[in-house]
Amino acid sequence: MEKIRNDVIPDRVPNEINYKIIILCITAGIVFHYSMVYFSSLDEQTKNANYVIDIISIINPLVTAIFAFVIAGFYRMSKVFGRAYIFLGLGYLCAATAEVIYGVQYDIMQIDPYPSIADLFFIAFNILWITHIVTNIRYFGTTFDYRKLVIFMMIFCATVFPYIGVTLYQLHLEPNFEFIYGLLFVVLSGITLLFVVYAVMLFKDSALGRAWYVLLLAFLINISGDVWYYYLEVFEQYDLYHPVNFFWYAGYWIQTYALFKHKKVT
Amino acid sequence: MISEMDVLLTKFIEKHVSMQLGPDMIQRVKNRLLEKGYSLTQAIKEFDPLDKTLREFFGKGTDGMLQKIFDEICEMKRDKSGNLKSIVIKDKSFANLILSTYGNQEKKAILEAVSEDSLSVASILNKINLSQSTGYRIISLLINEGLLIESEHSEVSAEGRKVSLYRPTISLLDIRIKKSDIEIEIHFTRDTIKNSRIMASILPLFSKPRI
Repeated sequence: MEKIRNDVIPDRVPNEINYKIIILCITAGIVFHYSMVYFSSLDEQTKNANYVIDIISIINPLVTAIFAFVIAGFYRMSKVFGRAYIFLGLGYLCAATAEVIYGVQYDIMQIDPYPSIADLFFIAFNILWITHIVTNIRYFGTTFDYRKLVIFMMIFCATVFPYIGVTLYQLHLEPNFEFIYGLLFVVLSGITLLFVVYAVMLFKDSALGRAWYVLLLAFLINISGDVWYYYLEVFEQYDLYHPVNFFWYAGYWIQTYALFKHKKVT
Repeated sequence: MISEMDVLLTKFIEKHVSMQLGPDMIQRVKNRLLEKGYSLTQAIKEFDPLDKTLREFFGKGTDGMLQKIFDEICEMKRDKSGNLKSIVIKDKSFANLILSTYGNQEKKAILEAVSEDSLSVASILNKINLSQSTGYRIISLLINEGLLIESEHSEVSAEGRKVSLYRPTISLLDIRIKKSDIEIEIHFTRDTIKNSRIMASILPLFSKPRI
């Protein structure tokens, strides 16, 4: 009987990561970015490519928000997951709102959207993401040891120190307002990344854990983009055709795939 | 053999697991258990299949989840050497089950009849002077609720048949009124705790430092 069971039943709940989809997201991000660069060079007067980028930048978090709300709907009767995914959906809605404000200021009002009111929504996005993870951790989290603390410190330093080091070096150790302002966001991104890493460690080797791995990858891509962006803003080198934009396209698409993986588990 | 403590706790663990995970997720867990040949109830009673299956879904997060579930059902009380000695009930339906059982004359009489020595069903019915049909129905109810358990000993009837003996699950019950709350503390025998598969898995989780 046992032998028959072992032949038929998979060793673990199946939820394998399809790396082809991740590669596809990255490739699509690169292709989209360079297509926009190409089209903008053909059409410098009307700036239609700007509007396409704005619309895609709004649609990306909006689609992810819809995915998060769909999962929250499936979990509506669950004490732990239902609330967690509502926070996540609200977070992505904040990101979409921030993108709308950013696009309006940049392309319609033609003012510098950094700093702007949109940043408040990006802060809310990070806070709601942390709330989503904390809701999970509060339920599933158990022990805490110093080994984890060391790992977290290292991750945080790896996120924040490159920004501080490189930017301050370029500024000849004379920090300006943009540097301090950007540092706030980089620190917030670093904290969010810590929580994602904690969740990955918590759900390691499980079906849910594989979905969190994908999410971590998406976050690493997004946060790399964020840190680079805040560096660029210090020196006013950012525009919609800078390669940093690719990180956000690919990051959001992979995050949506991670949520899809989560749905497959649940 | 499944411990009486496990029989008693199963219904409440099932209730809290289902509540926490929601219908969608619990169905996935049930499907996975079915693949392995277990119902959810059976898996909780044996506990190891449930534990392993939850770990397939949630990894180490299962530890935290089980702690939270037990925190909602009861509070563990330990003696000076750290061994579990009793549980204080926190789940309202669990408390209601105990109160309604001991508040019911017939159920209470049956449990009192077996408090000293394990008895067969016929001996219980003789001792408390209850009609056979009512007696069998109530005894069967008490067994299903995990409050009455088959003893490891048996006896031979006058007809030469081997008959099972029964004893109560709970060895001592303290009911205290604290302000507006009723606190129920259940004491189990050392053997009962030792034989519990649920406790064997759960107790180590409660000895680790928690967030």
